[in-house]
Amino acid sequence: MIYFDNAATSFPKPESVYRAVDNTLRNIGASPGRSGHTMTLEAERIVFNVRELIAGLFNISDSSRVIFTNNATSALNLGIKGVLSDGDHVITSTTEHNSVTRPLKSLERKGVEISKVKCPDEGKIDPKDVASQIKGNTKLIVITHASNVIGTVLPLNEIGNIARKNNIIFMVDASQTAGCFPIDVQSMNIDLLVCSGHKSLLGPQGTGVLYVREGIDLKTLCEGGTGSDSEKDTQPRFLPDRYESGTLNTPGIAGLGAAIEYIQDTGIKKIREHEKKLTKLIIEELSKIDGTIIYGTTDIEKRAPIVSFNIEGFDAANIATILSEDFDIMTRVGLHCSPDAHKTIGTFPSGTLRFSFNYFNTEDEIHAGVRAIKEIINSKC
Amino acid sequence: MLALERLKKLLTQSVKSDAYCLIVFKTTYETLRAEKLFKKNNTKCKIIIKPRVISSSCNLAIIIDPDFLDQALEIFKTNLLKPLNLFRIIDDNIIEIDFKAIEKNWRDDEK
Repeated sequence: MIYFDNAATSFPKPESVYRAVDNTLRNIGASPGRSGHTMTLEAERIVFNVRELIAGLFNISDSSRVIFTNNATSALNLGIKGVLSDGDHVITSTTEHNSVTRPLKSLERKGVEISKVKCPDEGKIDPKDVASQIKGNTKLIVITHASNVIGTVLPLNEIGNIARKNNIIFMVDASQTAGCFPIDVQSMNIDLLVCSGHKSLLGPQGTGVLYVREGIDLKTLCEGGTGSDSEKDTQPRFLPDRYESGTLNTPGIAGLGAAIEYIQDTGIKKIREHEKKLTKLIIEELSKIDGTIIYGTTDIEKRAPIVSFNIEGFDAANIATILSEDFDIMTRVGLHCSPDAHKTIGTFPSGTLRFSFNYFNTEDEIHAGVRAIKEIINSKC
Repeated sequence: MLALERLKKLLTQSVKSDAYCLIVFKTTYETLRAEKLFKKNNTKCKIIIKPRVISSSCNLAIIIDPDFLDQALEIFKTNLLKPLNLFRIIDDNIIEIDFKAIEKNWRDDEK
């Protein structure tokens, strides 16, 4: 089996991730932050240590500002809906995932004004276009670090500078880049950072992260038991408890911690170099096939390991089905939950076929994928 | 105040004598941060379930040997950690240590 669907969720995981999840479920099953007995303390220490690891990965000075969520979508909802109120203006881009687009649309109905900056040239964004959208009531700029459809990386440094100069909260969706691109919340002026735990961070599903810079007070989306301030019927003011109601996914968080340790031991630079090599190879090989249209930037330095394409005369869904059924190659076809991105590249509503890689993919797998595509095309001819 | 005999038996793992210091933070996060810093600085400590008579939003408390109190305070100062309560417990006597006064002294020293 060949797995090219890492932008949806990474597979396989590092061995240490499986072991951490199993060990936590099997031996440390207690609820963190609750009872205080030795098992619960062990669970709490796991959660604390992973918070510290995440803080270290993104140069976050205070790990209590790292909030665990169920996934990137819940982190984005908490950040977006926690910041914006009726009368506020928000700037976003036309390459966003529905996990940004839909919460914003929901807020638009409640009086929030949205400006979408176009990304016409291979999904790129011009920071000047972001600056030109700023108004007196602009409260938030929320953008993806890299498109989940075409992989194009957006210029965080420049946009972060614009946000800071204009005293606007800067929120970044790093679902496709955390763990394979260096991210520094301080030098990039990121106020709210969202990560999926199970994509490029290589952890288990059911894990997400929201970093909230000190001084930003988000409205809560979910209230309940936190194991703290229990005598009160109101949510604690202090972090992380304020935004972490209910029992945490301790096995998942333990797995995420093991994944981050794996990434740190391997080195982001090495991971990135390997993924760049695979991305470059698939683009070169697919380009040799007549009728192939590859979307997104050709600059590998500004591309996450994601390649979306179509082949003229072929339905991408049929190719994906045959790849799965006959060649045991897992890919994703369609709109990838990002209709705006497809409108941007002109592939709405039919979508594209997407190959997305992680550190465990190999050049041999790339060649096998290309051979399979050629066989499918030739079988029709 | 505490179920002393049983507790003291447990505490002997962490303290040399019948006396010990009990430290309470506002949050579990701070408690675990303190534990991590204590361990890093070879300050022997133990987390216990906080006695109910002590009011705090956190369910936990840390105990240390009184010999390590100065070292612990230095760790708090360096790492901007603020305990909610500090107690010195000798046999049945519980003496609250005024951390706010200690903090004030630190500020005065810096002036």
